Amino acid sequence: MLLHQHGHYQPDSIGGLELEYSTEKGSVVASAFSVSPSGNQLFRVPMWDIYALRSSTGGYPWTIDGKSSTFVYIKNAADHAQQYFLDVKYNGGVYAIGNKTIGAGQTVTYDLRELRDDQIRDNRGRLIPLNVNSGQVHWSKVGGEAGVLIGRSEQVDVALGISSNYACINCCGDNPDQSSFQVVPGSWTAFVNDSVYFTATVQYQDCYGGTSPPTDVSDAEWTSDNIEVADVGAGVALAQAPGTAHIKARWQTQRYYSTGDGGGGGLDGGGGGGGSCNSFNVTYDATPATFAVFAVNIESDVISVQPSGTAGTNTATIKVVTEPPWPNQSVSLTLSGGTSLGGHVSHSGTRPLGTLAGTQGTTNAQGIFQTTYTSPIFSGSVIISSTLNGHPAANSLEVLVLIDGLSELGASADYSLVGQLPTHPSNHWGTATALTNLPLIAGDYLNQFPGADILHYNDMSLVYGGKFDWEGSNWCSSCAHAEHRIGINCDVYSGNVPTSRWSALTRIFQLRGSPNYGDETASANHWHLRFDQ
Amino acid sequence: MTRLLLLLALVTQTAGVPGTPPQRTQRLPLQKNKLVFKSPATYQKRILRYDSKTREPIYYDPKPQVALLDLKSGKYALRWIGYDGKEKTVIFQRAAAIDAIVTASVSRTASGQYVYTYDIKNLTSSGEHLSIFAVQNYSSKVSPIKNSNLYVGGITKNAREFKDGNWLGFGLLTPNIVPGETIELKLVSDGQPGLVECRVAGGEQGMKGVGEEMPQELENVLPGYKDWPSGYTVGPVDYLKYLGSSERAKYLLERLPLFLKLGWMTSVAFQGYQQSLGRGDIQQVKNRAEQDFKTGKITTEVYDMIHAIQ
Repeated sequence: MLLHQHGHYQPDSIGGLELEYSTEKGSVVASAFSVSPSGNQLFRVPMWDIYALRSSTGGYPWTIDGKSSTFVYIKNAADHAQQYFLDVKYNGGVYAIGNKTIGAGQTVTYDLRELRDDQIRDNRGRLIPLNVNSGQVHWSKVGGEAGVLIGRSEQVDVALGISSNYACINCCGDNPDQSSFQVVPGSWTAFVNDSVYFTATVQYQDCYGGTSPPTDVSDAEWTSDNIEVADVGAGVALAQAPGTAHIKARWQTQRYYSTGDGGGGGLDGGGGGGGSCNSFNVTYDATPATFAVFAVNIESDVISVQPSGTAGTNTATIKVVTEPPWPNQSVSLTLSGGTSLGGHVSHSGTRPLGTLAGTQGTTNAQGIFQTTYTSPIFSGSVIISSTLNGHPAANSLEVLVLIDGLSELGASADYSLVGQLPTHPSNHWGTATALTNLPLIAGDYLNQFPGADILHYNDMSLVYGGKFDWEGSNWCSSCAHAEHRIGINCDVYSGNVPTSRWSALTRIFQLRGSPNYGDETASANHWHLRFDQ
Repeated sequence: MTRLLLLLALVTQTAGVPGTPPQRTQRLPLQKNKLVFKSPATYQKRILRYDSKTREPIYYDPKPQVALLDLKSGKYALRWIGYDGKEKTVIFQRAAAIDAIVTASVSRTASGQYVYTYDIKNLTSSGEHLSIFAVQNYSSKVSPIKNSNLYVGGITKNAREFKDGNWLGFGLLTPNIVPGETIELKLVSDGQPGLVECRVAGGEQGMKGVGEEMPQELENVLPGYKDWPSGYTVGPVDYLKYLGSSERAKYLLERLPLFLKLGWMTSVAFQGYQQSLGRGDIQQVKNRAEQDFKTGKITTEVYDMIHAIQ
């Protein structure tokens, strides 16, 4: 005997009583009672001969009165796990726990009051309304495993001295309704690389024609009729390419039918009373689900744009394209910073990322949403992301904001590279013209003035050009340098060049590619070279 | 005798149409590109700052403008509204604010090297002093004659204007070659005299800073070397010494129309050399050059190129 302490208001304990016999099936009659601790109350203990049991089913009324509840017990009499489902029906609704597995020799208990009062959701998220007090409980074994499940219900009100229990069984186990076998959801739309969970459901019918709510089929075999679009396994479909696939479920199970003098038995499982219940194997194909897969791509007409303020093309046409075309869908675009900061390091504040003319809209008749991106004045990479109907469907697009083709001026004994700061550690990037002529300028200067202190080359441009916020570290738009954006500038320090040499040096500037240099010697101790573009 | 008279008659008739044929040489001043300096038609508004909350840029209109200050001296004002809201002005000096004629002559040293002498005359019509004279060559060995008032050095090859051959720049360190003045510059080379290009710059192109650099659109207005007046002269050309007499004749023949256009020969002389060179008669060409140079029908440039033919 096994005893389990149990909560709530009635039976203080439950137990199972197993009797073994070795004579012919049905040759032993047994009855048992349990007695309350007070000795004042006696409870009948239903006994089942599992070998003579017609079906592994149960159907009982349930009520919740006063402080009492109805308890339903299901015991697995086999030495292996089995499956069953249980429905709680009441006036106006149904509550289904779905398919459950019960281990070898185990007993499971359902406290109807607890299910109601604790508002425990069933397999579809449904609740037993708090004002519901009665109904019918039905359970049945499902699946093809051999073995027997037995069950009963019990309601005891110790205070009132009332006790009732039921152990009714049906003529056969419930049978799946083939016409109800389907894949849910029946249709779904997803995006490439999405995973979608499909479920095969079926409704069981008891042998009296009663129908259970849909319950999940856990052992269906899944296939896709278009694996290029979507492949599926264990109900999980992976969207792989634009198009349509049908998700199919096939289920190999058993149907029960009653025979003998019980009457009414047949292949449909109907009938009841005496006789026996047998089964046969069936294969059902569920109504397939239609799985539409869309690809959503975010595209740009250019892979890079120049930073604003460089007089070049600073806009890109951004398109969110659905494939196949999917008109009238809601699109949302956002900007975020990419990995490249364009040579700006350890800046505080918010990095400007540029602007989108429209961040929200709907796809047009061709399934396209189009807007314009305008670059910030600072270079670097910018990520444009989109959602379609709130779904992060599209690939992200990285737009490079840069002046293309800048190279770094290398070190030389003829000049020194100065002006590196923690916020702009690499400050000598320029065009080919600048990089060709700056060493020549330094060489010409030393040829003209042998032994002179070498020229000091201060800021040129950052690696990707754009605004060089010289004195700032917080994405300063208005601070110096205003130029230095496209690689044609270099500030040459004048402090170590004797004024007697300035006229010759500026002639060198003029001849070596910077005819229109700026003279900022008075205000900022340097010449501001401008090489031809 | 009959044949000679007929030939002269034909030459006269041909040279007579159209217009009046130049009877004397007259060197053409260096030519200027027709550049127009005007305010940018389109420009980007400047981003003053980014809104700290919305991250949206806050723009302002820098109103970049180009204004002519003085046509003759080639001075323009580049104006814009600075980040501080105040108007900024940088003075831009055109390199083309000079009218110049380059006269070249060639002599030889005792060691056989060629001495090229360039007289650059800053015409009285100029608005600025001469600041740079640049001359092309096709020689591996060229030595400029330097002095303390000159910087002489190489010129960038990145610019389209200086990409062919080699260029030598003479930078005048003092602004003393004002309108009406002439400067003589020299270089020595083994290369024989051939047709080369030359350019000049007038005034000082360095622009005084105003504490804030100009918008990109104004920087793009700056003309670079396109504004330097350009023309032709003679300079060292190494490969000429490898040419045979017929090839040398062809070299000159191909360039005769340009010599005429540059004012380096009269139209009468042009016809004569066209025929002589067409026949490949170098000796006759040289003989004629001696005569024509004395009578002013060809300039030193043409004479020296012919004279150098061995």
